[in-house]
Amino acid sequence: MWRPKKSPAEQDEGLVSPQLVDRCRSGDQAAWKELVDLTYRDVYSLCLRILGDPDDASEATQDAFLKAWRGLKGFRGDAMFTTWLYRVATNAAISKHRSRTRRTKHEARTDDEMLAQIPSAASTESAAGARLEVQEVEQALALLPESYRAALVLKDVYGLTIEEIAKQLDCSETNAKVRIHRARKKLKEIVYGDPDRGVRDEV
Amino acid sequence: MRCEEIQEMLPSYVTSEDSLAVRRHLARCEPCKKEVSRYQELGRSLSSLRGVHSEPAQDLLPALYAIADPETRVAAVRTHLARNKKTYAGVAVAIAGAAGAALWRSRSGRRLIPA
Ligand SMILES: [Zn+2]
Repeated sequence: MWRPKKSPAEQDEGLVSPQLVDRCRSGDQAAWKELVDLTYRDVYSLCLRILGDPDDASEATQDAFLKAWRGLKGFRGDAMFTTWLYRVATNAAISKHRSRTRRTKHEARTDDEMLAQIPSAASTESAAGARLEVQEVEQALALLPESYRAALVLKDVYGLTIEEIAKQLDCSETNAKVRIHRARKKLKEIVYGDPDRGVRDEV
Repeated sequence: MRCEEIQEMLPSYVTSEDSLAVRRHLARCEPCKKEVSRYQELGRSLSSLRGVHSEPAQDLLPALYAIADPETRVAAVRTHLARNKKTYAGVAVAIAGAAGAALWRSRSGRRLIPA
């Protein structure tokens, strides 16, 4: 059985000190720059994984930091700053994800279309049971339907609880579990091939 | 239970291990055990992504710094809104076809699990 070893907050403990947050709160621009430097890659990467598109991820990141800046005054010092920031970032990404879902037919693609996009050569290694490349996993993630991907990323990459994910995605806990279940299954089919389809099935 | 039924349960089972029936089946079924190992490999890979960062476009960082600068904040927000507007106006999100190599600027090539 595998589990994410630590929660995001635990991993980043000490990354952003309470003193730094205090200085930002008092309007110290140098402190803000420092805080941004420490956290922007994390925030951007989270947004990119949820959204799958660099431009959307950049905008969600800006949304997140704008909200963080405005929310600093109300930020309770007893909460871990990075935990709070990730929550703000996830919210920003999810709302961008919603607005995009409304204006594109991205999710209307069929499973076959999705599977057809996978470069077959990329996976020889994993098909042989070796290790998965970062790029391969990221690409496979990008091929998941968006509602599945957001749930899976929050659970299996960032280690959020089902309760937190349901809250973030504004769905029931049962629905969150179903999305994660289907996402894992779909991701497995993308990476290893689906025996029923004869896609890169192993002998 | 048949293998198909077991395999339907595996995506959730791999992190909960909460079914005795599945556990018993796995003890004597190699193909299903193989499926479990795939889910486990995926799970490990996904949790490792946490530490893998993608580098954003170069204009993002200055925009983030500017948020704390009273003089430029207004401009930054305005640019930001303009960009959003442009996107909402229907710049097609080209992810469908081209999601792939170009998109993923992660420092890839790096292995998730040390060899
Ligand atoms: Zn079996």
